[in-house]
Formats: sequence, structure tokens, C-alpha cells
Amino acid sequence: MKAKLRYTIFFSVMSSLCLSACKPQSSQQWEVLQKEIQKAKSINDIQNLMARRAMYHSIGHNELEFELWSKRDDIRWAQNQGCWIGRETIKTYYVDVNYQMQAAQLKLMSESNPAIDNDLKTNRYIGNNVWHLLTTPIIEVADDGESAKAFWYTPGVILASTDGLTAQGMHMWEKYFVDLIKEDGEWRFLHIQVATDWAAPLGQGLPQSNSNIAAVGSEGGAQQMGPGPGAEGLVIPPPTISKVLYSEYSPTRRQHLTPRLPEPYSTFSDTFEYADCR
Amino acid sequence: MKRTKLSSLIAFTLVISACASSTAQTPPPPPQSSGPNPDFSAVTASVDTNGDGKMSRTEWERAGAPASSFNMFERGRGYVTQADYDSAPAPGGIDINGDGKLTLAEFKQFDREMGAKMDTRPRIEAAERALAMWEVQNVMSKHAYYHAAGVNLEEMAAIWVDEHGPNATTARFSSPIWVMNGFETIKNAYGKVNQQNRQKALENLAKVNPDIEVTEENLGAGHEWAMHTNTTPVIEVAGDGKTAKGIWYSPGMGLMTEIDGQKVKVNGTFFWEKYAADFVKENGVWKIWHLQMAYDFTPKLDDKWLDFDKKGMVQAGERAGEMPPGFSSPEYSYPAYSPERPSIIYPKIPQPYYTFDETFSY
Repeated sequence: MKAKLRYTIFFSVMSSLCLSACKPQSSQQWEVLQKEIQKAKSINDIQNLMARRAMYHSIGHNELEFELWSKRDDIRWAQNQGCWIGRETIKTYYVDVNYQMQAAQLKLMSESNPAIDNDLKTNRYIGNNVWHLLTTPIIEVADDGESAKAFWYTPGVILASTDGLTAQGMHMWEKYFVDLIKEDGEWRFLHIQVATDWAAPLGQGLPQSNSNIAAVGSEGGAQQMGPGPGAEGLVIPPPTISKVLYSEYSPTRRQHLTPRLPEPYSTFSDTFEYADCR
Repeated sequence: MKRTKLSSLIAFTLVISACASSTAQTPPPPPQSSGPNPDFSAVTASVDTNGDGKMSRTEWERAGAPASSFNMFERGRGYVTQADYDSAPAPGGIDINGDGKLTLAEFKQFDREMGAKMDTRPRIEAAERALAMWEVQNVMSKHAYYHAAGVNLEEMAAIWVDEHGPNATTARFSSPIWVMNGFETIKNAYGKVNQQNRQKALENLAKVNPDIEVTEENLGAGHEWAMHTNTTPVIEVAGDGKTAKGIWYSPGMGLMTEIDGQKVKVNGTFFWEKYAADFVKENGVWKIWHLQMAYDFTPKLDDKWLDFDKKGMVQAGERAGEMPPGFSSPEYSYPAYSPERPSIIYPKIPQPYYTFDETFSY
């Protein structure tokens, strides 16, 4: 009986020892694992989101791209020459203008090529392909899991036609800098900045300025995009804030690591922002 | 009292065992043999390529058949035969699809699965491994961006092994032409020389336009821009979580400024090449340890891409010539594509491994 009691006491003591020594340890381990799982899943979700955007963009289905953005009013889109800020502005610039240009281009092509009907409903996506491949990703998810920052390099090719008979092509090598936030459990774009390094017609070299060497840093950002063939007169909204955020390669471009690469961070207010024209 | 102490000891051992890491598991019992051996003929046909009835070690290795089985049957002869296999009872489950015939694929799969089951060493959890793969990808991508910006010294400080740490002397950077051995050599050749080249490029611009100031802020102007994207990753993280290996395909572009009198020209060259790297975790952060390039194809932007004899960096030897101190020649120099080149997979694709000693090094 005494021996039984001793066993009972012994096992109680050992059990408490195990509870105090092992359970908290495995509980901590479990928390670490949970965080790692969530982080890895978020990174994969973000990669998928950005690739989904690229796929929509490849045929010019920009309204579907727009649905991948945050529902907030302070979203920002930026190119070399400045920032477009706010949902309405970006929708006009990125969705509505794109649609009107597609319509104008289709009309132009149908006039040159009778095989193409000027029927926007069925033929909207004829003539254009915009491939921005996603490579060289850096994705950092905040420790709180509520935001993320990402970088991609996108070597691209753009194919277009103005007459529906012949095609023109361009190399387009750019970077994406992106801030993302989680809304209702889904990752969404908060800020996207696209930075063009160079563009050149397929099969040709880079455009040569054949001019005297300019001052360093004087090359400026990309020019504002024109309305495109057949859409002359279409008003394209200028940047909300015009500012040279990035410059294409030129013999006098300064080269530094700008903007900053994503770095590990705890919460969005602790880090910097992309597409920032302030 | 003695019995109580003994019982306590057993119980204590049991409790401690229960508390041990969940990642180390007891090996399962070896599989039981049952019934006649599955027909080994298909394996023999795949391995015995010269058809002499003897499967030599070379044939066995070339076929990728399990090395442990060869060692078991070989008995000092240097070969094994089908009779060796037929005379010993095969382990149960080796005929994975149960059709009575053993294929080379089944033989290998069974060996892999058994090897994994018998390996009871503690492994990192799947979650840690999944995250580590992305962390390694991030590091490799950072290399591309640092290098494109021409800030190689900053790159070395940020994402290579610690200059003063235990992996500094074994750091390595290789091309088909040269190998830079040790952090110091890489820092000098890849970092400091590059910095000097940036300075010279800016000075050359300033010679033709005196308004251009040679300042730290203006560095990079006039220098090359080389973006080596990384795509198509294969990343393997060691079972012990301490190292990782990766290989990438890298379609890239280099833009170079050429000054001709008062005029300036930009030339472009595509780089189609592979990158492979070993990574090591230092203080919880993944770092580049060994980095290797292998060029396939480097056409000029404005040329016919397939004009091999005349244009492009067909010979990928931009730093060829006499090897400075700390450099050596690679054991194998991967040739750029030519119509006569036999294609091989190089560098090697990473395979799953437990610890760095058990794998190859880039």
C-alpha cells in the first residue's frame, strides 16, 4: 500500500515535471510552427495574387485586375513619372482608359482587316498581348501577418497590332515594388509601383540618343503614355502627383539600390512604403 | 526499496522519452518478405546495358540503382547478377504495384522510402522547411538586385556569409573560367574591383562632360547595368535545417555604355545562364556560401540571335586570363552553347539531403 502511494506520488511529480518542462516547450514550438505555416502560406498566396494579376493583364482584362486591389480609398499606382492615388483615379486610368483604347484599336483593325469584326463584345482582346513575367521574387510578410512587401523583376514582351494584319513587338524590362494588406482574410494590393529599366523594339537595339552626354540624373522618368492608335483625343489622366520615382537606363543614370528591398518587419507602420510620391 | 528505485528509473526514462522531440521517431520494423521474389528481369535489362549478364558497379551507378543493394550482392566480384537477386528473399512491398514484376523505378522508389523510414535523425518540420525555401529564394533574388545596382560590396556585407565568421574561408564564387576562393578574394575581385570600375566609368563620363561631378552620389553613371533574373528554381533545404542548395535559370540583360568621342552609345547583351548556390544559416539568417554561374547563350540585343561565330559572349570569359591570387581554375568549365556542344545538366540539380557533408558543393 505504501509502495502504491509512493508510485502515485512519484508519477504525479513526474507528470507535473513533464507538464512544466515539456508542454510549454511544445506549446511554444506549436506557436512557432503556426507562424511559419501562416508565413509560408501567405508568401505563396501573394505570389499567386501577383501572377493572377499578370495573367489578367496579359490580355488587357484590367477590370479583373482591379478587383485584386484593396477596397481602401488610399490605394496608389506609380510609374517612373509619378503616382496615381485613390480608387476612382486608378479605375479611370487603368480600367476605363484601357477599355476605350481597346475599342479604338479594334475599330482601326477592323477597318484594315475585314476578317475582324468591330464587335467589342466578342473581339475585345484581338491584337494585343502584354506579357510581364514574374521572376526574382522577394516577399516579406510582416510578423503580425497583416501586411507584406514584395519585389519582382519582370522581363516582358508586348505584342500589338494597329491594322490587324501585322504586329509590332517590344521588349519591356521592369521591376514591381508592391505593398499588400490582408482584408477579410485575403491578400490585396495596397500600392503597386512599376519601374521601367529599358524598352526596345524586338529585333533592334536600344534607341540611341546620338547626342552629347547629358548631365547625370537629367534623363528624368518615362514620358506620359499617349492615347494610342485610333484613340487620339482620349484624355489620359496624368499622375495625381508628378515626380520622377525611377529612371530608365541611360549612360548617365545613377545606379543605387533604390527603392529599398523588402526587409523583415513587424507591422506596416514600422516600415517604408512603395509608390510613394511624398 | 531497490525495486522502487528501479521502477522509478524506468518510469523516469519513459517520461523523458515522451518529452523528447517529436521529430525523432523510432524506426519502423524492417519489411517482411512474403511469397516468391518479383521478376527482376526488367531491372537487369535496364542496368546491364552491355548485355553481358553482369551488372558492373559503373552500370549500376549509371542506372541510379540502389547502391546498398549492389554492395550486398557484389561480394568482392565487382558485379552482381540476376541470380544473386533471385537467390535471396526480396523484402515485402518492393513490388510497389504488385504485378509480380520489379521495375527499376520501383526498386529506386522502395529504396528511397525505406531509407527515409530508417533515418531517425531529427529533421526540421515541414513548416520550417517551406518557409526556408522562400527565405532562400529571397536571398537569391536580393543578389540579383544588388548586382544590377552595381553595389557588390553592399551585397557581400548583406547577404553573403559573415566576413569574419566560420564560413568565410570556404566561401566561393565560380564561373566557367575562374573560381574565387574565400570571402577576401571575392570581396576584392567582385566587390572592390567593381567599385573601382564604377569610379572609372564616371570619370570617363566626366572627361567628355566636365559638368558631371565625380561624386559618390553619381556613381553608377556610365557603368554597366546587368540584371540576372532568377526563374525555374529547384531549392532543397537540408534535413538538419542548417544549409540549403538551389539552382535557377536566369534570363538576363546587360546594358553597357560605350563612349565614342563626345557621343555615347548603349549596347545590350542577353545572358541566358544558370545560377546555382549553397546557402548556410548564420545566426538564424540564410547567407550565400557558394555561388556558381554557367552561361548557355549570350546574344546581342540587336543581332541575329544564332550568329554564334561572330557576335555575343560566345566565350564566357569576361574575366579570363591570368588568375590573380586567391583564384583557381574550375574543375570543369561549362561550355556555352554551340551546335557541337553535347548538352548536359550542369550545375547538378540539388537532391534531398540531410546534412551538407552528404551532398556535393557548388
